[in-house]
Amino acid sequence: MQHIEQPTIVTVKEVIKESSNFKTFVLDYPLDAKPGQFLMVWLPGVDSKPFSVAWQKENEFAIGVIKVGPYTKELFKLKKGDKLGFTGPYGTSYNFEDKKKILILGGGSGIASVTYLAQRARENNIEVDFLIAAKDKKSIVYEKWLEDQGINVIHRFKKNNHERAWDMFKELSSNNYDSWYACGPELLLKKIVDLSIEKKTKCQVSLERYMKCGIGVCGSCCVDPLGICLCQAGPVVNATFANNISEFGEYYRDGSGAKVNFK
Amino acid sequence: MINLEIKINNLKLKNPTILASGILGVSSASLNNVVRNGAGAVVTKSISKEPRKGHPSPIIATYEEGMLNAVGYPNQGSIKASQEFSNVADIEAPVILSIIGQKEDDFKAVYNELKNCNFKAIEVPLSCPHTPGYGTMGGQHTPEMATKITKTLKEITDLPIWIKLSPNENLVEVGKAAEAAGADAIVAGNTMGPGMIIDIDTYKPVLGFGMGGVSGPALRPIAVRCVFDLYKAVKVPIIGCGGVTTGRDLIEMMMAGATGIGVGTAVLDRSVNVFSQIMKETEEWLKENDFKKIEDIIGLTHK
Ligand SMILES: Cc1cc2nc3c(=O)[nH]c(=O)nc-3n(C[C@H](O)[C@H](O)[C@H](O)COP(=O)(O)OP(=O)(O)OC[C@H]3O[C@@H](n4cnc5c(N)ncnc54)[C@H](O)[C@@H]3O)c2cc1C
Ligand SMILES: Cc1cc2nc3c(=O)[nH]c(=O)nc-3n(C[C@H](O)[C@H](O)[C@H](O)COP(=O)(O)O)c2cc1C
Ligand code: FES
Repeated sequence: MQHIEQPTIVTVKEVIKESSNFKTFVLDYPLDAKPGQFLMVWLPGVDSKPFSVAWQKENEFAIGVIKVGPYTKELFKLKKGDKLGFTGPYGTSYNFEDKKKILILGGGSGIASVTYLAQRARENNIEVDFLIAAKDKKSIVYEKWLEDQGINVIHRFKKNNHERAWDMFKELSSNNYDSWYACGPELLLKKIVDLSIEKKTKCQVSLERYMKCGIGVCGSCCVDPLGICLCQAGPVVNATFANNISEFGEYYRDGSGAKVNFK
Repeated sequence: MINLEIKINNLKLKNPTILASGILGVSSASLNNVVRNGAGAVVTKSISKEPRKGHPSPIIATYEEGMLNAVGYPNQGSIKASQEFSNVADIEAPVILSIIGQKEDDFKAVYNELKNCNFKAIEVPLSCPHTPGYGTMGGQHTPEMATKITKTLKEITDLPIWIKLSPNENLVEVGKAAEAAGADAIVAGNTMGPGMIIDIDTYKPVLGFGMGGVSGPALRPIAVRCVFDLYKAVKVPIIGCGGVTTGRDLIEMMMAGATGIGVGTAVLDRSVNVFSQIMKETEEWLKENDFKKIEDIIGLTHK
């Protein structure tokens, strides 16, 4: 076989508690991933699930995880010195190299996909406005980490204004950005994609679908009506592509393949 | 122009390649995408009466010469599947329904739920090596079970019934029993094993289920021999399946006696477009060797 798919085992270098249910796991390994790509993270004897690369340095990288169910609960038990495995990196990445000024939106666990984009953009001297979508002040994560890199961080709890993330995004979008990037709740992504098409602004979003293999074989991440696998054609897609996915903003499939509606 | 068409029972395929069950094929859209990429026919992911979550990941691991999988038959169950696949007639190639069950009634129930979806044949795997209660782990790969299950389905449908066998053992015996019970074609075959890959850093098996069926190039010579043996033993058409990755592999399997050729694992190394690639390579070989019809190479090794 040309593709050998077996996990690489890495040591947890550090666990950072970002909020009551959000942790960053720093892993001791010189990963070579592009912003937006993901890994299948393996807990031996438990499961293997998709997680974005949250940031990457020369000899270490991180994933940022929200605790939502049985697997992430197990992951949260890991401490410094423990080991886990991964395969990947998989999937498409954000295009940003030729931009000068960009707008990024990160919401929920999706923030941990665009943080790496923000890191790379700053390394390329790109001006970054970063809007965090969060339901309450306590779930704002990575604010200081972003600001330390010279990124302008925006969220509704900063000025104590009660605008929703979508309203803030619309307002910001009238500035001249070369491109928008977003990863977060899909209904919000849908609105952003529609706006970008209307305004003819370049836009890329990262979509989550149920991923079991990450390599385009099992079909669990297929989207209607194209029938292609988002583990390879995604997770990062541009606005036109997203708009050709009829289920975008409508439904996704669970682990058995059954449709589940958003909302 | 070389004629690449083949016939299996009453089905006309534009070429012999058939998407193997369980690779992609979870939705109508996915099957359609495989057909757009050149497949002559497609088989759905196996459907059970009730929904199944399947095994935990990793569901796939590969090594130098092949793949191990233990997907565990995740599927949305027959009721939702009947909505998912309600429009398979729109797909421009025959779509075959793969049915799994534990008791005979399960097969009946799945068929009855999906009988109005315009499937062109039914495939029944008696041969999955890594799902408790099913296939070789459910004691289904015996002449007795093959007879029972084939008869059960023959009684309720006029669609061709394809019985999918295991390369592990008893292949010819079970194949002959299925044929005697009315099976219209034999698929040879499923994955072999199960096998195991252990991660030596954590001392743990890589697959979520621990062990899994072997497919891909490692399986190919065994699958070719299975087809070769079966060709001498049964009269019904044979669908050869196991490790076919290139045109050369397809030609080899047809020479051993296969009419149709299942392709699964090769999707990983050559992408979903592997069907078109295999047929392009096949066509070139046929041209160079002065064959006008692909049908003429079936069973050549026996002649
Ligand atoms: C490309 C991609 C990148 C992701 N990146 C991150 C990330 O950086 N940080 C983060 O916290 N989460 C990320 N996720 C989501 C993460 O994979 C799920 O939250 C996790 O698998 C939940 O597992 P669980 O057992 O804890 O929860 P469950 O109770 O099993 O599920 C909770 C939710 O997660 C979804 N989910 C469960 N398993 C999967 C799976 N195998 N694939 C996709 N969704 C699943 C379910 O549909 C459900 O909506 C990403 C998902 C994808 C597809
Ligand atoms: C990931 C994967 C999932 C599979 N799922 C099924 C299945 O649901 N039903 C089935 O009959 N066979 C299943 N199989 C077996 C294949 O259909 C095929 O018989 C086998 O893989 C050998 O062919 P290949 O080497 O071309 O893959 C699966 C194989 C793989 C690799
Ligand atoms: S996760 Fe298996 S095909 Fe995409």
